Amino acid sequence: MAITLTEEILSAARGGEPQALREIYESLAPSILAYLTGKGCEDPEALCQEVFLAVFSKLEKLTGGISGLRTFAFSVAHARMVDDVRQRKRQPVLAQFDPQADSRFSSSAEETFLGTGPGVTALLEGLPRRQQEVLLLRVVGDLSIEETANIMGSSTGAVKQLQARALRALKGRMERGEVPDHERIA
Amino acid sequence: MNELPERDDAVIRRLLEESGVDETPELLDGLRKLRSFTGTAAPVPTGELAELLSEPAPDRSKQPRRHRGLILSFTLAAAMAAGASGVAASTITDLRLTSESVTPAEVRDASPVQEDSGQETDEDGQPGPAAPVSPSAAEPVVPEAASPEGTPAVPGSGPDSAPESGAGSGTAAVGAADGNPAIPPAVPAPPANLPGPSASAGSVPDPAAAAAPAARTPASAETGCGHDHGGPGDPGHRGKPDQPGGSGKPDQPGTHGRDRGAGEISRPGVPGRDSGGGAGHGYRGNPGKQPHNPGQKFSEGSLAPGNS
Repeated sequence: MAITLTEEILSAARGGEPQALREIYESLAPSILAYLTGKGCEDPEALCQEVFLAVFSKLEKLTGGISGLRTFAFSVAHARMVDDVRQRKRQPVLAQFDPQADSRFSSSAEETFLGTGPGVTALLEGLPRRQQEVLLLRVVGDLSIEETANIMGSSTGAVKQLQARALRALKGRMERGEVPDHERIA
Repeated sequence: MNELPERDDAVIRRLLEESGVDETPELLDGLRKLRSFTGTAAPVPTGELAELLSEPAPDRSKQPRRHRGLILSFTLAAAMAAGASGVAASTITDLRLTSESVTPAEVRDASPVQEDSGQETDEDGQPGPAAPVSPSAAEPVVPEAASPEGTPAVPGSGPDSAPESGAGSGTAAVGAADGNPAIPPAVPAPPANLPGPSASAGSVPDPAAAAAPAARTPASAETGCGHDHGGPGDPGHRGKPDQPGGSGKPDQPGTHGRDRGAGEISRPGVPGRDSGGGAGHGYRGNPGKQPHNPGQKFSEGSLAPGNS
């Protein structure tokens, strides 16, 4: 269900056409959701919808075409993620242990057989936050180094270094077959 | 999930090249899984976002609202131009009054025959010129006017004629059944009414008379026999001042048709003209009630039939 966004769709979305807005949403929402999920947001789906509400309200002032739209969407998602992290730090959620709500689980035999594999969080677990974010923006968000640097508020050089370190760490873990921490706990 | 694995591999390899990291099957597999999340289904939009992405159904509802004020203003202006004042607060009776005021010719035709005639003969005794004309004209006129249109001219004939006319139209039958006891006295009147109608006919142009039957039909259909009773009022209303034949007697049903408009328009100063055009209004408004109060002044129930 890959939807290729075009300038026509973007111009129609600027006019408020629901179909064009839906196509943009269906094209970018999975990446945004994966980014928010990988960053460990508490309610990634709700945040994802908030991101698109903000993006659609600024479509008329948006520049840069499709690439600018994607960058702007991830910028908003990054800002929402930062807000979510800060809010959780200020107000830690205290709740009783619920096995169903515990995300630290190992994949089931069916999931392994079907090839679903672990989620985004499990793949990037153990990496520093900024390394995680670089990988998410570059791999999931399909953004360039410059765009990633703009979103993270860093220089391109810093992004390149973070990206290289993250890939090396991930490579070492994959080659060693290292099991994530949560599976060890289980 | 991902429909373009080649493109994904290209992106991943470029990423590895940028970082100077050698690719391995495990690393490639891990990055592919990471990228595969971009092909998952988007979460179902809810709340405000769902409304934004929904089809433009709300726009349709907004369009009529956009012009509603304009349409209402034009409608109101048109109604005011047509003379239908107080449209919003008016009742059905008021609307009838308005329509009747527009078609006075009708009243002239049917009414004079019945009531006024008797009064004139009693009071002024002017039958001289009018009397000979009235009987001859009145008798044929009544059936003619009533039969084609099915209107209540019949009621003037009294209870005897009621059943006959009743066959023609239900409205007329109702009027007779209501017992227009007051009407019978008016029955002999037809000859006296003649002067009234004749005068009115002379004063009113032919087109009005021609339009009378057309406009008369709907009103008669609605109001029934009361329509005819109202007739007598008009001759007085439009009648010439010198004619004494006006329904001056208060006890006669025909005199009930006192209308504000009648007094103002035709003879504001003539006291004896109780049978103004408004008589028709009063009857039309309460066709069934009038017979019960034959002696009642028209002014009471003319414009406020509900009150009587």
